[in-house]
Amino acid sequence: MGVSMGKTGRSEVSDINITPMIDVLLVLLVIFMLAQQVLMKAVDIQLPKDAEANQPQNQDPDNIIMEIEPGGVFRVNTRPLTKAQLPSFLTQTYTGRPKKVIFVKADGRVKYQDVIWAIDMARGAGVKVIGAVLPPAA
Amino acid sequence: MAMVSHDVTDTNVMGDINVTPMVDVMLVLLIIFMVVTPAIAAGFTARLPMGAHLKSHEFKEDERTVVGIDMTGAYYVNKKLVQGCMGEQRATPVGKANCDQILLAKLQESYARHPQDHVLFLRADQSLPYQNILDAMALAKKSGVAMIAAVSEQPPGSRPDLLEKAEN
Repeated sequence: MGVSMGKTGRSEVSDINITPMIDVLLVLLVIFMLAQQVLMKAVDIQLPKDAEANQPQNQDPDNIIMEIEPGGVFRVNTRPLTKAQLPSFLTQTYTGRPKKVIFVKADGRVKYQDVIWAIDMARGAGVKVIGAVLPPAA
Repeated sequence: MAMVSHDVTDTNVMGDINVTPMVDVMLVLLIIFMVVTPAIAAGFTARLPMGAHLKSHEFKEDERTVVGIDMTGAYYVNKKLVQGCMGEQRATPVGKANCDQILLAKLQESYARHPQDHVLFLRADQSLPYQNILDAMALAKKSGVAMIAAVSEQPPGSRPDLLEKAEN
């Protein structure tokens, strides 16, 4: 510490010791790294419960089914939409609709990101439950 | 640090290095690397898809099952690479059936450890064809999974709905 207590009254400001400060900061960093419980952020997708539920469109005409085809074609209950039209159409469909459920069916060739994007748009429109439609088991 | 008085007779320009704080900082850096290295060494490279409306899930390693599909199509269950399930091996129907069997066994093993939790965390690269994810979902269904949490990243500038914490 550079404080001189002499009569000549040198500078009263002490030099900050960098090394102990870095030390303490690094230890705090380690403590937080170790104590942190990892939080995973995810899109929740429900799987169909049994074989019959695999084809929800056969069951309830009120269900909304979104299909994603390769080439950027999106269909909501067979109505074709472009990528730009999808978010607003979903918002429109779900406003005032009590059952915030959507079923998602996508072709195997579609990029995973596109599927997540479409689901994300549905979430933005207020959908709470997302069901995946699996192809019939081979 | 010892402040050297500005004496005219003082010719000692170089200060003595304090070894103790240096060793201290080194040890802490060492601990940090020891903590971080296993995560890097796993070798799993995937770019997760982006989504703005995500739910947070607490993740405790022993109580959750994670399936990872990296950008080459290799499968990882609970951070360990599954042998026999590389992209090329899954190309043939026989290879795929074989791989599915292995994956199913691993999934069942993992769920046996936490039978009350029926969530599968899926960390798949965003550029993968959806078919891979459909396959994973089919296998998950066979293992008794009810819900897939498709782990995604939040684009910068948005935050997850803080009120939306998943129930499980």
